[in-house]
Amino acid sequence: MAATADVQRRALLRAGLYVIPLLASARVLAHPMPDTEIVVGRDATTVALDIRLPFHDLLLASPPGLPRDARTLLAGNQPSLRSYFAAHTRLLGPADRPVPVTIGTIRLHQDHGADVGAYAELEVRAVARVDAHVRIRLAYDAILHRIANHRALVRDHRGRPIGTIRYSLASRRASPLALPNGPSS
Amino acid sequence: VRKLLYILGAVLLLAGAAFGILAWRGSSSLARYTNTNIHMGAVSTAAADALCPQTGHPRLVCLANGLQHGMSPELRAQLRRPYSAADARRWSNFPPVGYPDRVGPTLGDFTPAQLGFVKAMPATAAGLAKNEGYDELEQILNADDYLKANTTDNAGFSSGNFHIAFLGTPAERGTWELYFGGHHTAVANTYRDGRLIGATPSFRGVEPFTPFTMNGRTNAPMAQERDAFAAMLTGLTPAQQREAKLDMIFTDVVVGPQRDDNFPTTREGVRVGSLDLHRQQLVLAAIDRYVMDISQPDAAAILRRYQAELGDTYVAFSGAPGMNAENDYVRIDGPSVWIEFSMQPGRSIPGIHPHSVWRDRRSDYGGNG
Repeated sequence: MAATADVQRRALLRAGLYVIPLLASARVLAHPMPDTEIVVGRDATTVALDIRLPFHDLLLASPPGLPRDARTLLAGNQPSLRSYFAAHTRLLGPADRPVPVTIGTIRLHQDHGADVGAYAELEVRAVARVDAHVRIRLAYDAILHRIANHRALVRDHRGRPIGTIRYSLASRRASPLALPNGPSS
Repeated sequence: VRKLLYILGAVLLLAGAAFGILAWRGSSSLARYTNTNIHMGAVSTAAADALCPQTGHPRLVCLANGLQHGMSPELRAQLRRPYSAADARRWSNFPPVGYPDRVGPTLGDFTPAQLGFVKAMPATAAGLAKNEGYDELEQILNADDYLKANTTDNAGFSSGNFHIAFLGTPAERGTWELYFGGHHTAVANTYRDGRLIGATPSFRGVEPFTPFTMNGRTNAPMAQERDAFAAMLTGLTPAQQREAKLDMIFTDVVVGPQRDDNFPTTREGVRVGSLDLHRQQLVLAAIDRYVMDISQPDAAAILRRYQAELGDTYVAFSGAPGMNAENDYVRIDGPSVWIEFSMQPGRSIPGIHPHSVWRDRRSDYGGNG
């Protein structure tokens, strides 16, 4: 019986070690609308950027003539949207050498926040092949290139802040942000 | 198989417990809010006025002492904190759900007798001009009661959810800040040795923006700020408007809460010194709408300083000069003064609503930021 109880205790401990950090991270990952949020994940050979941005601000920052309805826009404009994000999501390696970035499928997320009301976000995944030990910087200015007060809050996959990308009224550009080396832990 | 079931059961049990903890954590930051309508207009300050007949800073010190008299140690500990720039920066335009980290107890935590002293403090610090100072604050609180009564949003709208705090000890000597804030509101008056050394950051916003009836009165607390900016911008010549026009879009203020370091190093727009006297007066009138949120004689002294710097002050805007449409934005940027006004879409009800911040490049947080 004692052995069984010991097994149960260990199982509980193991479960706690896995479950509690996972759940604890859920709260800190709450999206601080109306800014953009970028979650960075790195493994040995890849860096992935999960980008969530407010659809309303994207429309303001985009050229006129795009459909105002989010579903219509997404259904008929995936290639041009991917081109837009490719132009505004760049990774810079050593000596600012560009690292090719692939923009994946763009999805729509609609929700309601008590403090911001109903909102729609686009979810964009950008992936690049780059070894974990290589120093890279993220040069991102989607929306920011037109909306001066917009910010991109960059975090690791556990919700820990890496930094904020913002448009500088002084330099009239958004400075690149250094991303941490090594696989995400 | 049995062992596996034990483990699975344990995992589910723990997950449930962790979710419970998580839910509690999520709600505990909001559990401090009473969500009550205080109806500040009906709160009597007679006892506070009788105890503290002084004016200015001596009255503030008297009111602070009167408020704390007989107060529970727990409430006093929340109300009075050591002065720190970190705590001074804990303000926001968001309602409690969007920003639960404000300092100090809420109005809903005080007894009716204590509320009289609480009300008298921002009234003393902000002055009693119609639609400015304290009157403007009271109407913004009424707007939150209006949102609570007329929307289903559970964002923590309520006049009872506004905070007051003393950072440092209100006294003749030393540094302290009177903080009063909540949704769309931040008052941060910093005093040193009895003198006002910082009246900013000062944030005001309101939803609904159009006149509304709440707590027995008609409220339109920021109409005259918008009108002053519209008069200033439409009063410019077409060439001056072109010079003042920014090419970027502004959906909110730039130097808002937790963005203390976001001042541009280069001023943009039309230089006020290049305008004729009439147009300069329109700029000064817009600035005065903010300075009037401070009681006299401090307001007059601040305005004199801004007037002396008017020649090197710039006006810039984005959107339309009428300041009555979504994303209309205007900025006054001087050697000291920084004022932004941003018209935004309605968040909780249809329409538009403004955010506005007054900062001072030299004396934000009393120069301690």
